[in-house]
Amino acid sequence: MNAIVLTVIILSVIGVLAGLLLSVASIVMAVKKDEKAEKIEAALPGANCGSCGFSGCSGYAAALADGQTEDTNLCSPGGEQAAAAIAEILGVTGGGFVRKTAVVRCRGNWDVTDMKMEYKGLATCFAANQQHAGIGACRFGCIGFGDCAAVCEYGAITVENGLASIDPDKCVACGKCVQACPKSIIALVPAADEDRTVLCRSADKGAVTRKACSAGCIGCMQCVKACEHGAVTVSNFLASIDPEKCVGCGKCEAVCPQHCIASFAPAQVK
Amino acid sequence: MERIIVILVAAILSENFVLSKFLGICPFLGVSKKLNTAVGMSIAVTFVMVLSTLVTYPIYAYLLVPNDLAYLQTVVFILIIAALVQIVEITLKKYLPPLYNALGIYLPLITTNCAVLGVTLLNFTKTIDGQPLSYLEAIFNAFGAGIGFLLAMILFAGVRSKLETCDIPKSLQGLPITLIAASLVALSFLGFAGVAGNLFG
Repeated sequence: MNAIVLTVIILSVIGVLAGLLLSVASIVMAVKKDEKAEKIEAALPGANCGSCGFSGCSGYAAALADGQTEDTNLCSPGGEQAAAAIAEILGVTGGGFVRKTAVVRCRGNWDVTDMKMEYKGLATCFAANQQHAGIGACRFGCIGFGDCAAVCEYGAITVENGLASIDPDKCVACGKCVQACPKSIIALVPAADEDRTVLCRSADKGAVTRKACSAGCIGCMQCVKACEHGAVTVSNFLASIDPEKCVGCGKCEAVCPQHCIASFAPAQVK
Repeated sequence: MERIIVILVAAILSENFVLSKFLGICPFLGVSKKLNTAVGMSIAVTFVMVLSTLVTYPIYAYLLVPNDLAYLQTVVFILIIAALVQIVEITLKKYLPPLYNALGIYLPLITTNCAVLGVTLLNFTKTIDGQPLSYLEAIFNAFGAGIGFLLAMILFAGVRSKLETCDIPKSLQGLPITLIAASLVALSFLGFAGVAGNLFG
């Protein structure tokens, strides 16, 4: 009987002491969290993708609350909603949010370009790129092992016939695929109907590009001539379009003999 | 001094908590994917092991044993370790934010880590030359156990980073090959058997 009572007493005393100590400690050593930062963090989607340039959502929220940054529109996954919510919490008029989407700037699937080798190595773009700059005939093109698809948390990227493609409906423009691509062919572009993007990264001369791939930009300058707003330039035998100047008339797309200019828009924005 | 060296060598190598006693397997498999998280977790474990030994040893020796309640040790130790880890977490958050940011996410994981409980319990069953451990020796034993954990984690993180680049048969991908690798690492630690006991003749 005595032993049981003693056991109960000892255990309860230790338990109560530990509980008291913990509750006192939690009051005495409470760390004040910035209310603004907490509110902002709640308004963010919590994807922790890092596309804002800070260490996760809490990092961005803290930076906004401390005034380290004044840009309320950096969160790609949150989009307009998050930008507006943050602007309201901070009591500022935030900059407009431009929805973006990631785009694979290459059209070289195995129908239009060939493999230059039979590759039996590690099946990642990164490894293949280290050996002879990839397995395709074009040294600038998509390798097609899907390093980008592996890092995408939203299932927006599929690899078919040796070419990655991104579903703009699922893409939140977190930019992880942009970093994962060893060929740097993925970029974030404004996801509007009008904006055109050149879907090729080949800086080879036209004849070399054409030999490697029948869908590549050959630097023929026709798009430059067609553009009335001076938005298209060609350097290194590769066309590029300035999204600031582009008005979305689509004349460059119409004249491109290689059909490598296109626009990207998610279905719901159209 | 000799006894302390024997205790340290035994705890780190021949009686490694993870690789020969098979305690703390959960963090060993869960947190060993990357080297820096493995090191962070191990340092947090070492810290908690030493701290909980500091507290549990006197409670066992001066409270439980005199009252014939030694059989209560498991329950009491779990209670103490859990409370201790929480207090450490709160204290770190307040006074050492950088350390909290480095260890913070691992501390709650350790609350019920069986390696920590194992160290505090085995402090009382372990004997060197037939003599039980003193308070100081128990603390060194806990420290050695933590360093042994660190060693196992670092070694295994290295093995796993090699595994990442291997072409593994589909049926073995993921946890199966990790377990096989862990068993081979554990096997290699068998080579240390008997080293500690014969250090000084």
